[in-house]
Amino acid sequence: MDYRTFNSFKYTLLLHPLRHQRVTQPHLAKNHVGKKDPFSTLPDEVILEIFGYLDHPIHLGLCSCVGLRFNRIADDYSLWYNILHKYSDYLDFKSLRLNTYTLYDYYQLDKLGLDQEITKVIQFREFIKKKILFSQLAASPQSFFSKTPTILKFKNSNNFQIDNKLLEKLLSQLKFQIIKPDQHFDQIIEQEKEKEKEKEKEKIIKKHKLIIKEIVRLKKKNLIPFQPNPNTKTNLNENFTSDMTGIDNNNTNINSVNQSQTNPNQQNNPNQQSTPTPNHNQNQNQNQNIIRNMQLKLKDDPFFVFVHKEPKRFFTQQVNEYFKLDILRKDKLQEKKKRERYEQFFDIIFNRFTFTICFFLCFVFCPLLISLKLDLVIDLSWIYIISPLIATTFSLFLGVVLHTIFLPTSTGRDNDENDDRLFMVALSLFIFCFLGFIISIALKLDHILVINYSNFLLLPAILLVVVFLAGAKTAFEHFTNPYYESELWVLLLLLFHILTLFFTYCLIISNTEEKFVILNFAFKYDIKNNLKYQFLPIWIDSIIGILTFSWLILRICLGRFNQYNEKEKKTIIIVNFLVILSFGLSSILIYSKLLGRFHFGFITTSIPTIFVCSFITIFFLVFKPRVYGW
Amino acid sequence: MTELGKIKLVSSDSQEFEVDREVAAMSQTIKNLLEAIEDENTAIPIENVKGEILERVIHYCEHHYNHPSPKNLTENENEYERRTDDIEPWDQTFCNVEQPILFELILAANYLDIKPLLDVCCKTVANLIKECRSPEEIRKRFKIKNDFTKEEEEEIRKENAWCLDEK
Repeated sequence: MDYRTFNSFKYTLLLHPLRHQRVTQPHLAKNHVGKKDPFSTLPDEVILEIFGYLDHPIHLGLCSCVGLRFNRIADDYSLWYNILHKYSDYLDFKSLRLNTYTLYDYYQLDKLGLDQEITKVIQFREFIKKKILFSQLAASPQSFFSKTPTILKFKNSNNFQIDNKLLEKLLSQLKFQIIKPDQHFDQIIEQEKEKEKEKEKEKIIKKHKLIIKEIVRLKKKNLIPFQPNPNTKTNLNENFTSDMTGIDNNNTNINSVNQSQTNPNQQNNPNQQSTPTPNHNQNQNQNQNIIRNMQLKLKDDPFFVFVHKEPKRFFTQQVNEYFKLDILRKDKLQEKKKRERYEQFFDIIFNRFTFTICFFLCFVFCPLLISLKLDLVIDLSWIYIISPLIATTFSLFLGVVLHTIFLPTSTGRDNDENDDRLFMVALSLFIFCFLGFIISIALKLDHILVINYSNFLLLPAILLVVVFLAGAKTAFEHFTNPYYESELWVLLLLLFHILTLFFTYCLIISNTEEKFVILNFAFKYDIKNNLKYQFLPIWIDSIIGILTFSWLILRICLGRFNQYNEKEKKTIIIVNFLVILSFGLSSILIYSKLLGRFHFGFITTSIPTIFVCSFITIFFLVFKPRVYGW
Repeated sequence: MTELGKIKLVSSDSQEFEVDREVAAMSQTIKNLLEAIEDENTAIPIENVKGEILERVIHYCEHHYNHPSPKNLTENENEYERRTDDIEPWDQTFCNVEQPILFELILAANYLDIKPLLDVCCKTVANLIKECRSPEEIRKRFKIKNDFTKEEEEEIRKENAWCLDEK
C-alpha cells in the first residue's frame, strides 16, 4: 500500500496531535531557514530549550536585550528559576552584603599570616567584567588563573565585595596577595565587635537560606505548587514536614529565622519568640511544630512570594545590590549618568590637549607678532625670542609624555584611539616647533631685509583655522553625543579668539596706515590714532584664555579623579601645574621683554592665569566639593 | 519493495530513504506512526523535512544506534545542571555545519522528536550565543532584527544594565 492511498483521515488523526504537541506554531515550521533570522523559523519552546543551556545569567540577560521575541522568551520564569536555584550557593537570599568579606576579614587573614605566601593580586570587579563564570572559577581556579592573568586588589572596603565561599575556595587553592587597607586598627577592632553581632545574624540567615533551598528543591520535584494556594494547604504541610525533618534536625534557630522576616502572621505563633538554644536533641513533635509554623509563615511572607513569583526581578535586584549599582532607583540612575558623563573626560583628554596647544599658540605668538608690528621696545636678540618658545615646547612635550606614560592604563582607551591621539599631539607639536623656527628666522632676517609681517601673521591664523576645522569635525561627528558638549564650547572660544586676532590686526593696520592683505582681499580699518583701545582685544582675549584654562583644569581635576590612586593623582597635579607654570612663565617673558617692563599683557595674562588656575586646582583637590556626583 | 526490517522514509522534496526499522524508531514520531501502521511496506512521508536534512538526521541516528552513549541513562537526574561543554567529538563535527542547516536540523529533530539530536543542536546554538558579548553581537551573528522601539530598548537596557558593558 502506497502512503498516498493510506486512509488520509486516519493519517492526519495520527500525525496531528503529535505535531500539535511538538510545534505549537506550525506556520513557523513551514518556513524554511533562509538568509534571514534563523530563529524566526523555530517555535518558542525550542528557543526556550536553547536558552536553557545558557548557564550563566549574563548570557540570558544579553539575550533579553536582543529583540522582542528573545526578550519574551529569555525572561521566562523557568529559566530564571533554574538560575536562582543554581546560584543559591552564591546569592544570599536576604542580604549579600552580610555574606561578604570586609575589612575585618583582611585583618583576620593578616593575623593568620596569609599575606606571606601571597603572590597574586586580583580585582574582583575586573573578572566580573570579563564575564567569567563563578562556577568555572570556583571549580578550577588554578587552571583559570594560569590562562588569564587577573588582578585582585583589595583597596578598601568600598570597592571590594567578594563572595564568602568563593574567597574561601580561592584561599585554599591559590596564593594571592592582600593589600592592607589604610585604616587604623582601633576602627578595625570596633568593627570586630559589630562583626560578631552580624555573624549571629548571618547564622540565622544561613539557616533561612537552607530552608528556602530545601523548598526550592521540593518545588522542583513539583511536590509544592509555586504559588501558595489555600486549597493545597494540608498537602503542602505534609510534604514539607516529611522532607524538612531529615535536614533540619540540628536546626534549632528556625524560629529566629522567621523573626528576621517581617511577617504579620508572627503574632499567631508564640513559639517563634523563643530564643535560639544550642539544644541538639529535640523531639520529633517539637520539630514538626516548628516546621509547620515556619511553613505557615513562609507561605504568606511577602519576600518569599516575591522570590517565587518573579525570579528574574529578584535576581537582578540581588546582582545590582552586589555591585552597588542601584539601578532600580531613578534618582540614583540620573546621578550615575551625570557621573559617567564626566568620567568620559579622560577618554578625550588627548583631544583636549590639541586645543591646549592651540591656546598656547594664540597666547604666545600673537602678542609677540602684534608687538613687533607696533614697533614697541623690541630686543631682537635670539635668546629672548627663542627661550619662551623652547620653554613652552618643552613643558608641553613633557606634559604630553607624562600623560601618556602615567595615564593610559587608567583611561581604559583602546590602543588604536590612543595612537590616533598621540599622532595628533605629535603633529601639533611639530607644527608648533616649525612655526617657531620660521618666525625666529624671519625676525633675525628683519635686520637686513624688509619683510612684510602680515605674511607671517597669516601662519598662526592658518594654523588656528586648521585646528578649528579639525576640532569641528570631531565635534560634529559626535554631535549627538553629550560628552562632546564641552568640545563645542571650546570651539566657540577658539572662533572668538580668531576674530579677536583679526580685529587686533585691523586696529594695528589702521594705525600704521597699511593695508591688510589676505589673498588679494583688502581691508581697511578706519579708527585713527586710537591707541588707547589697542589692547582691548588682548584683554578680552586674556580673560577668555583664563576662563578656558580654568575650565580645562577643572575638567581634568573633576574627571574621575577620585578613582585614581595616590601616585596617579600626584602625576595629574604635577602635569597640570607644569602646563600652567610654563604658560605663565612664557607669557611673562614675552610680555615683559617685548611689550615693556610692566605692561597690560603682563598683568592681564600671566599672573591671573597662574593664580586662578592654581587656586581652582588646589581648591578642588583639597576640598573635594561634591560636584557632579562624586 | 523494502527489505525485511527496513522502512522507507520520504522527504518533503520526495527523496526516498531506506532505514532500519529500529534506527528510525529513535524518532518518537516515527515510532508512534509505525505502531499505528500495520503494513510494513508503507513509505512514511516526512513532510516538513528536506531530503538533505533528512539524510543528515538518518546519518546521526545510524551512528548513535551503532554507538549508543551511556550518558543518556542518567540524564534526567541532573536536569538543572545543563552543560554545553559535554558534546561528544563525533556530535561536534556533526553539528559543525552552516547556520541554516543547523537550524533546519533543530526543526527536524523537534518535528521527529529525536531528543539527543535536539539536545546536541541546541547546545551548539547555545554555545554560539555564549560566544557573543553584547546584544548587538547576537543580532549580527544570527541576523536578528532589533524590533524594539527606542523607549522599550532604553527600558530593557536599564533593566539588564548589570550584564551589559558600561559605556
